[in-house]
Amino acid sequence: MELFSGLSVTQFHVGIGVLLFCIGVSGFLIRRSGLIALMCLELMLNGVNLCLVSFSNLHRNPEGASLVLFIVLVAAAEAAVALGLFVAIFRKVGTVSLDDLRSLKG
Amino acid sequence: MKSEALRWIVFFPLIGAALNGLLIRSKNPYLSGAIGTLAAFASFFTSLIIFSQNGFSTHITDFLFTWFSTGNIKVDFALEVTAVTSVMLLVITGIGGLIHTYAVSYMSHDESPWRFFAYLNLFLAAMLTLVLSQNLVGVFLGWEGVGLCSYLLIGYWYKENKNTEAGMKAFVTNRIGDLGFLVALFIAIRDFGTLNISEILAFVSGPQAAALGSTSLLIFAAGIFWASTGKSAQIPLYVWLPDAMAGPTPVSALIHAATMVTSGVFVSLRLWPIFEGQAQLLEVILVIGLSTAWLAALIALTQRDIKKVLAYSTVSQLGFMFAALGIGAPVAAFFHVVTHACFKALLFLGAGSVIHGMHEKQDLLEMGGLQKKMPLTHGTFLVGTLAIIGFPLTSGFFSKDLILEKAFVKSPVVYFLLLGAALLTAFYMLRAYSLAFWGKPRTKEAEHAHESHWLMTVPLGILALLSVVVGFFEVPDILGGIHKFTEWVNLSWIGWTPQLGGGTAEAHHLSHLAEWLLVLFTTGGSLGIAYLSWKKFGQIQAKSAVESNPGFFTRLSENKFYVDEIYGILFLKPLAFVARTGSKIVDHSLINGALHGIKDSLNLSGNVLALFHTGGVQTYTWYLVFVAALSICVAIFSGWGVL
Repeated sequence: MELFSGLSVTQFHVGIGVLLFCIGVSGFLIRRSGLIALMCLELMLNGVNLCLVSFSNLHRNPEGASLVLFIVLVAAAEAAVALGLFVAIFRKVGTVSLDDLRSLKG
Repeated sequence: MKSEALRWIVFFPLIGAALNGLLIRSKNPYLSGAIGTLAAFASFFTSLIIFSQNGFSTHITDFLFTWFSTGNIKVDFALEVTAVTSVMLLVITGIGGLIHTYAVSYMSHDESPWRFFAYLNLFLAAMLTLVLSQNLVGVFLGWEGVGLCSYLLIGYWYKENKNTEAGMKAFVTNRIGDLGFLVALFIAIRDFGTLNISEILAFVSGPQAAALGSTSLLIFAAGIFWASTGKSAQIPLYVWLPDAMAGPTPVSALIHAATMVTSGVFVSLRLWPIFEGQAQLLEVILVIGLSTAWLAALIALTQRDIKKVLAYSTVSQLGFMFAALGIGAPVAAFFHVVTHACFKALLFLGAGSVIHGMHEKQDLLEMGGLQKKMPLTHGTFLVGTLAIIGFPLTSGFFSKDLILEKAFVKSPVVYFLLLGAALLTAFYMLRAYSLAFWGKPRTKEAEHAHESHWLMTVPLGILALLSVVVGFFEVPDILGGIHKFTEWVNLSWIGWTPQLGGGTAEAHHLSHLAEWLLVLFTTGGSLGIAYLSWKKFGQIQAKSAVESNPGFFTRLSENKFYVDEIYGILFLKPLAFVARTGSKIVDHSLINGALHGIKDSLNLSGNVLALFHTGGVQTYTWYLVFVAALSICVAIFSGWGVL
């Protein structure tokens, strides 16, 4: 089955996944807000998920698809923890701008 | 003959030192003093018992254990008594015990008497090791041990800088001498193949020694002699002994008059058969002994400190002993060692008693008129003075007369030179004695001086007695002819036949008339000079009477012929310059430079790396992305076969 000329379904899906991942990376690198960075993180994860699912479909192997379930689970947990952290940081520092959070510097 | 008891002579003082120094550490001077004194006397009586059981000059040995063994050299920890050793043992432990007794009272106001007595006992143990050891390594162990104890005791009152400096001077000067001992040890290992003293002596008289040639024997003997100039305070290394008077007076009496300083003479005596073959070396020894006797006597003429007078007198008398060695009369030298130990210990202890009574004043000009305040000290000091100037029938008379007689046989010039030094002795000793005990008290302290405790006066009395009677072991033929001492000492070198005629009793070739003339001339001269000196200094009433305008020679003598200053310019200044320059180049430039270089480069690299460490999470992400992209590129290109 072909959607566009010369592109298979798998190629299309993987391309979308890579695109999502790149958007996530660039957003993470460029935007200053911690919340947006978090969203970009989710984008990256989902880009990876999409790739996993399509490869799983291609190889007729359910391992990739089942790994996605774990990733979704971890991503949900991570989002919960990270949001909680940002709330706590905001209470303590008064900002969630990544430029201002530099106390990791030794 | 073997005897297990021998080791206890060394062990008793060692145990005393351990008890006082490590275990009890009592501030009570009588407890510490009792331990120290008992240890010394225990050694004395052990020696007496051994000699009474085995005869006085039997050859006794005691093997403890093998110390180390390498190649064909085996060094035992073994003790050995020969005749010369047995005499020395009694001198060290007997006079040492008396001085310990005296020190109990002398040090009774000290803060740490345990330390003092621990050092003193340690010294005895080291000195006995030196005397008793069967091999040269053991002798060297004792040699260094007494040097260490001397250093510790000179600087005993370490809170005063002057005392510690005197201690360091003694230690360093002795190290310079010890180099000679080491050279002798190396020669013994290389050429003789043994360090055992009797084996060395056997080797030297054997056929291999002739094959070896005389050079190594000469170097060996010269090394021992060089070490002796350090330990026994001869020119050029005598400068430490006068400064050593900074120590407590019992130390001066025991270490710097009676025992340690004679160890140079003692070691030369034990190895006498080697020295005897070295005619040129003996001449050098004679010259050095004579000049030391003269120089020290000249300096002693004007010293104001009573202990300094006695110190220079000790140096001068040691010069006599070496001069006796130089003319080939070892027995006479050793006899003078023994008599000198008695009367010089007596004089020092007497001076200590005076200093004690005068509340630590040592200046002769501040004394005067002490004979009524301190009658016992005065009487015993007088006996000591008479003994050292050679008053007839005192011990000094016999020993000095023996040396002078041998000198006359050797050459009248040597005799007159030695006689000159003896006359100087008479002058400065009577000067010191008269200034201290005659005339009127010249200061408040002298007026209020008091006689010392009986613990101090009893040893003085015993030593005074000894100073008189010890001489009767060796009496010249004209006065009855007793030669016990010569007979004993000659037994030290078994299987050795004297070549120079110095060792045996029948060796002098003088007629009785000539001998009488010599004795009368020597004694008459000394007594005359002594009388003049007493006339001059016995009536001085006021301090100012002595402090007149000094002439050129007086100033020279008062300033000790500027020897310390000359050494300072010749040796100390250049040495300090080399050390300072060396430290500038090596320490400051090389070592410091290298270390700073390492430090600086680490600093720089750290600073550069720190620039990458911003703390911002996005920066780190950039690095991550960059590296990931790089990896992908590498993977792709290598897939293409580019890389």
